[in-house]
This record gives sequence, C-alpha cells and structure tokens, in this order.
Amino acid sequence: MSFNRKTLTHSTLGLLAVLFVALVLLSNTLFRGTRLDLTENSLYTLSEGTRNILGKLDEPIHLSLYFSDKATAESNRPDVRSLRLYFERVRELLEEMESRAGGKLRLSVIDPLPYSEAEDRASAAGLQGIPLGPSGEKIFLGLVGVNSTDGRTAIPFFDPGKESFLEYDIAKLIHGLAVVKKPTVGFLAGLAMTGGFDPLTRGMREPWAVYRQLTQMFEVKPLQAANLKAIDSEVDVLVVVHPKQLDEDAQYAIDQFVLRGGHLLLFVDPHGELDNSGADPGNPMAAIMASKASDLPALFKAWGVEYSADQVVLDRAHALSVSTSPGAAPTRHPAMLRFTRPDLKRDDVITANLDTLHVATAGFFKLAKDSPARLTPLIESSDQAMTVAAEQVKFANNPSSLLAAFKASGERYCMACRLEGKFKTAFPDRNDPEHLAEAKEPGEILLVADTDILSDRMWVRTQNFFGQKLLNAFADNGDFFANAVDNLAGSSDLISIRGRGISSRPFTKVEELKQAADNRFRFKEQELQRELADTERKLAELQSGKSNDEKFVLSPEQQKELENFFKRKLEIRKELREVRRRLDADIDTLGARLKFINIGLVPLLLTLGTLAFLGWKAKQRLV
Amino acid sequence: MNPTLTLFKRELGSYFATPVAYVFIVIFLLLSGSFTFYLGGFYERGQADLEPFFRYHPWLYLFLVPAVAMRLWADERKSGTIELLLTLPVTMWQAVLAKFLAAWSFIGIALLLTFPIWITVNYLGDPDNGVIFTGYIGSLLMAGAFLAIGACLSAATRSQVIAFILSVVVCFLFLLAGFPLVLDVFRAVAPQGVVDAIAGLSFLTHFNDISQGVIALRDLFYFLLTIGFWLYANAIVIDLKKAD
Repeated sequence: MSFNRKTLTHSTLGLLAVLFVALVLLSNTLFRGTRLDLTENSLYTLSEGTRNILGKLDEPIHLSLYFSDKATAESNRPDVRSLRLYFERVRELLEEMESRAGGKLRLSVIDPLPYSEAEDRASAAGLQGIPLGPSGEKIFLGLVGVNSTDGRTAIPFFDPGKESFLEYDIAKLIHGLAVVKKPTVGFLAGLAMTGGFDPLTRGMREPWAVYRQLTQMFEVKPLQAANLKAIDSEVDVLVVVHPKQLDEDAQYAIDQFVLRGGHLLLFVDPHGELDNSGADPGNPMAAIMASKASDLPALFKAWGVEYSADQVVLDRAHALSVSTSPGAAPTRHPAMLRFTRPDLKRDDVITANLDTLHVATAGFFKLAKDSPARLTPLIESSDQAMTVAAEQVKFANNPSSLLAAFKASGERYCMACRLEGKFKTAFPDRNDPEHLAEAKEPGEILLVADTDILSDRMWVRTQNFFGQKLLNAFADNGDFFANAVDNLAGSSDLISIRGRGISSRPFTKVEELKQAADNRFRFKEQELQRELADTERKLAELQSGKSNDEKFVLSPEQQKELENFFKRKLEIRKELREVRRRLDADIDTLGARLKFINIGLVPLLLTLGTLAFLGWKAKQRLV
Repeated sequence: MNPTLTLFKRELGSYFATPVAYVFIVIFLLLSGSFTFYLGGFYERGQADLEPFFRYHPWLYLFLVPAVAMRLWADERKSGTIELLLTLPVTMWQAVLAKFLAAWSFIGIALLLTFPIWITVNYLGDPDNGVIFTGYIGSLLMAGAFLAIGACLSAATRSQVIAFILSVVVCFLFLLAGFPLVLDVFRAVAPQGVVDAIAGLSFLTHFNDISQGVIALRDLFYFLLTIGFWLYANAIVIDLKKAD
C-alpha cells in the first residue's frame, strides 16, 4: 500500500515538474510583449513617434529578421549567449511593431544556415556576418526591409551595446521605406566636413560623423559657395555651416531661398576651431593669425537678429574640464561648455530628448531692436556668463587665464535658437526675375552660433566592433544636428523616438562638491597671480632706482622682496595643495559616511533596539 | 479569523521571538551593503542607480534564504510538532501557505530595511525611481522563489543541515540554468528544445529583466509559477512523509 502511495506521489511530482517546464515555456511565448514599463522615459515601450509612423503606413512593408539560430544554439561563448538574448529583444520589438501596424508590416524570421541560399541573400542585402560560430561560421543578426516599390534598406548588424537606439533604428528603417522619396538637403559648408583629399596631410580625410549621418537620412546635395547663384527648388532643407566671405550671389541665393519658404539651418562661429584657413605648411603663423570667424551680416540684419562674429561666450557654470597638455591636471575651460538635461529646452522637439551637448567657443544671438521676428532659444548660457573677444580666447594658452579675469555679466546668452517671422530681403535693390522682397508666409530659421558642435571630437568616438566601425557617442551633438534637419524636413515623428540613448545619471552631489572646491582653488590661484604681479612691480620699481653698474646685481631690498615672494609662493602652493587635498577628503568623507549609513547604521540600531527590548523584558520579569 | 492568517501571524511572530531573526537581518544588511559598496563599487561608479545593489541579491539569497527555509518543516518534523500542527483545524494547504508567507514577509522586512540605500542614491543624484521600484519587486519575487524551493526541501528531510545543503544546490541550479555549466550537462542527454527550455528557467534572466524597470507578464508569471509549483510539491511531500 505504502509502496503504491509513494510511487503515485513520486510520479505526481515528476508530472508536476514536466507541467512546470511546459507552462514556463508556454508563458514565454504566450505572454510575449505584455509588460508594464516603469522606467522614467518608458525606455521599453513603443514611443508615440513609432506608433505614428506605423499608423501612417499605407503600402505594405516586409521585414526579414536574419538570425543564425542553429549556429549559435550550441555556443558557450558569453558574447554569443548575450547575442541570443538580444535577438529575443529585437524580435519582440518587431512583433510589437507588427501588431500595431494594422497588417501593413509583415515580419519573417530567417535562420541563414552556413552555405545556404538564405545566407547568400543576407550577404547580398548588405547584412554583416560576424565570425562567432563554433568553427568560425558567420553569425547574422540583421534586418532587411523591402517596400512595395522594391525599395530596400537594411540594418547590417544589431549591436547589443546600442540597445537603447534599437527602436529608433528600426523606426528609421520603416520610415525610410514608407516615404519613398527622401527629403533633399542642400549642404553648403566652409569646413572640410565631407571628407576627400587633404592637401595638408596628403591623405584621405574621413567625412565628419554628422555628415555621414546626414547622407544616411537624406538625399544630400553638396553646394559650392563659389558658383552658387540660386538654390534648387527641390531642396527641402538648406544646411549652411561656417559661411565665410560668401559673395553677394551666394548670400542672395540663401536670402531668396528663405523668402520662398525654404527651411534653413545655419551654423556660424566667432572662432571655428576646425577652420584651417591660412594653413600653410611653410608658415605656421599664418594659420594661427588667420580669422576663424564666419558671419552673414547682411542677412542677419534683414532677419532682425544681432550676432557679433568677434565675441565668444564664456560660462563658468557650464565649463568643461579639459587637459591642456598630456599628463597635466584637467582645468575648467569657460569657453568649452557642457549642457545637460536640465539646461536644455524640454518642450522643443529638437532638444527634448537630449542628455548632453558640448559646444566650444560659441557666439550668441540677440533679437535686434524693433525686430518683428520671434526668437526662441534652444541652447542658452547660465547667468554666470560673459562675453570676450574671440582673439582673447584664441591666444589664451591656459584656460585659467580666462577664468582669472572672469566677471559674470548676469545676462544669459543664446547660442542656438529658432527664429520665426515674416522675413524681408537683404537685397532690396536687386531686380532678378522672380525676386521676392518679402516672404509670403511667416517662416522659420534655425540658427546656431557654433560650428565645433558638429565636429567629431565634441561628441563621438569611432569604435571597432568585430571589425565593423561603430559610432560611440558620448554626447548628443549628432542627435541635435539630425533632429534639427529632421525637424526642418518636416518629419517630427522620428524625432520623438531619438535621443533615448544616453541615460547617464551622475552623482550631482559629488559634482557640486567638486565645483565648490574648484572655485576655492581658483580663488587661491588668483591670489598667487596677484602677489606675483605685485612682486614683479616692486622689483621693477627697485630696479629703476639703480645705476647702470648695479643693474645686474640684486640690491638687498630686491633680494628681500624676492625672498618674501618665494616664501609666499610656497605658502600659497601649499594652500592650493590643501584645497585639492580637502576636496578629495570631502568626497572620501561623504563616501565613508554613506558606507557607514548603508552598511552599519541599520544593523547597529537594530542590535541596540533588540538589546534594549531584551533588557526591558528582563526587567519586567523581575518586577 | 481565517486559520491561514492566524497561523501566519503566529509564525511571523515566532521569528522575532528569538535573536536568530535579528542576526539574520543584520547579516543580510551588512552583506548587501558591503557588496554594493565594495564589490559593486557603488560610490566610485558615480551613477545614480541601484544596479550594484541588486546585482548581488541572487548570490546573497542563495545562502541566506535556504538558511531561513531550512527550519520551516525539518524542525517540525524532527521535534514531532508536525503532527500537532496538522491536527489543528487547518488544512495542509493553509499550513504550507501560512508558513511560506510568514517567511516571505520576514525576508521582505529585511529587504525593506535596506531603504537607506534608496535614500542615499536619491541624495547623491537623480535616479530613475521606477527602475528601483521594479528592482525591489524583482528581488522580492526571486526571494519568494528561493524560499519555496527551500520550504519544499525542508519538508523532505528531518535534518536542517541537509535541508540547507539541498536547497543551496537546487537554488544554484535554478540560478545558473542558462549558463554553460548547467546547459552542457543537459546538452549531452537532451534535445535542443529541452536545453533551450532549461535556459528559460534561469532566475537570473528573469530577475535581470525585471530589475531593468520592466515588469513583463512572463517574468511575473515565471516567479509565481515557480513559487506555486514548489509549494504544491511541498504539500505533496508533507503528505507523503506524514506516514513516516
């Protein structure tokens, strides 16, 4: 009897185990995609932009997700295991999109087995196979999209490190297939952004990352300033970067383009650090002395906006720490600025989802007096800012010299803005055919007073991932540019998906401590500078009272003065070291205190409480 | 009053009647704090999130939860009070559930006492509190799953030590399912479908998903199913051993 009962129970347990595994498997398939996303930015939920793009599809789009399922199933490599997990995430997202597209999106999942036809198709579509298989077979994880007019685009490889851009990348692919014609962007640049041959280094130059991004998203039409007479009517957005000495015809072309209702994105700079005008291998001074500023004074005047091409904004609150030479301690540079989430405009589609922007030696815009236009800032300095002549920044060999003379004006300077208005021509005297003296409709221009914001060194590092070049962004400058062009090109759906990527949440408290110590350090440093200047003045005074014979011999007074100075210098250096040491100590103390609170405090209180309780109980018993 | 509730209260109260409970909580807090700060480099990382805090929970639970669970039934069986318990006007299910819920609440209290880390991270920066919330939910669910396994194995033996060791081993397998260490064993004997199924049983995978800020129905279901399955097995085992 007992034997039967035991057997029965054991088999029940066995059955239960099988049922358990089966149910887990079933739930994995059945409940796929049903989830509650509690992240602040709803990182894992389809954004409204994606839903809009999916809702607007009117031609069917077919997506093929290629993943080497069999080839990876056996692998024990951790990177391959995580790739399998990532494939699940990609597939779930695609299935979610498929279910929301009202039948207009069809998804098939294909396993391109080695040497199969599917593998050939995947390679032909531009997918990147990575040799991760057990015997070096190529592993695929990519997406190919085809629309009804044979348009074809692909995501060569889904990089797990770029998970936060996953939705955007896929939505971009779908959007690209849905809109048959890409918007055309006219591109006029006074900087070598498009790559090509570099006469200085006699090598090929890589195009800037922002330019590569632009060519992926739009039909880009490079324009030549030298022979620019008019902007084609097919150009939807005109991007002008660092316009230097444009002739009247070129300026007129821009002027008329804006009046016709064209969308303009303009980058000017009082000191474009990547401007190599005057570069001459035989004469390095020529490049240093040449002006690096760009301006369009006539057009700015006509649009009712003020811009000084020789003024750079310094901002103490947003100064970046930079190393002036290898091995040197980083110093805060008030012309190299970082803007983070709280500083950026949240209600503008261009900046709403950005986390970090870096700008360098930027200028500023102001609405001209009596201007009928409307200026909405996108990037604005703090009130701890001032402006200085561009020359001063150019020749400052140490950023701390800029901070030494810093005096906040209390004003906020606008470094990028939207300008709206019914614009008038800057060339009222011209009478070309089809000349417009005034725009028919109110228009909008995007102005940015910095060109360095676009340069790679401000926002991106190129990384090699399994032999494939991947952009690793440390700031959102690229997104800022792409958002701006995209916004002007009229597709705001995509913009709302972008910029989720970098979700860095630094310890603001520690940053504050550093900032405070930095200010103290700066103050001490200035004191030292002042005393140095003072001593030099005194030495000079003593020197002037001497006869010619004595000129090269130090008088006892001078000797004493010098000694005093060296003594004081040592003292101040010590104080400076003390400030640095105290900063580290402050940060360490905070850390130690938090460690104690989190590791020891509650256990300690609990122990004391327990002991007190036991003591009280024992006392009660005695009574 | 509902007998489950009565039993639950009695059980939970009994935890705090002896210093063992306090010792457990203190050890848990000391370890979780030390792991967060020293192994996880919480402060040096400079990021306002609790990833280094939750990262070590599975490994902490691997030893601490079986320690809580080992006495659940083994003790009752050894001292013979199990017969007494089952003669009370409670069904077996109610007893199993009450004991489990009491132990789970006890671990929940220990988890709740880690609140200073939540205050700390909010003081230091601007964390995503939604993600932290789901991290706690995930941690609690995982503790429940560990506990259900421990409870069932505690019922299978009279010795607390054996119950503890068995629980650690089984929990370890559940934790590592999906890792080569476990999969290789099964790959030799089972088809790919089964191996993939086993990979889907890993605590770590499901916990990681939840602690990223997304409560997926399947992860929730997975933990509840694991708890339900092991508690059911628990009841069966008691029934089986009752006669011993």
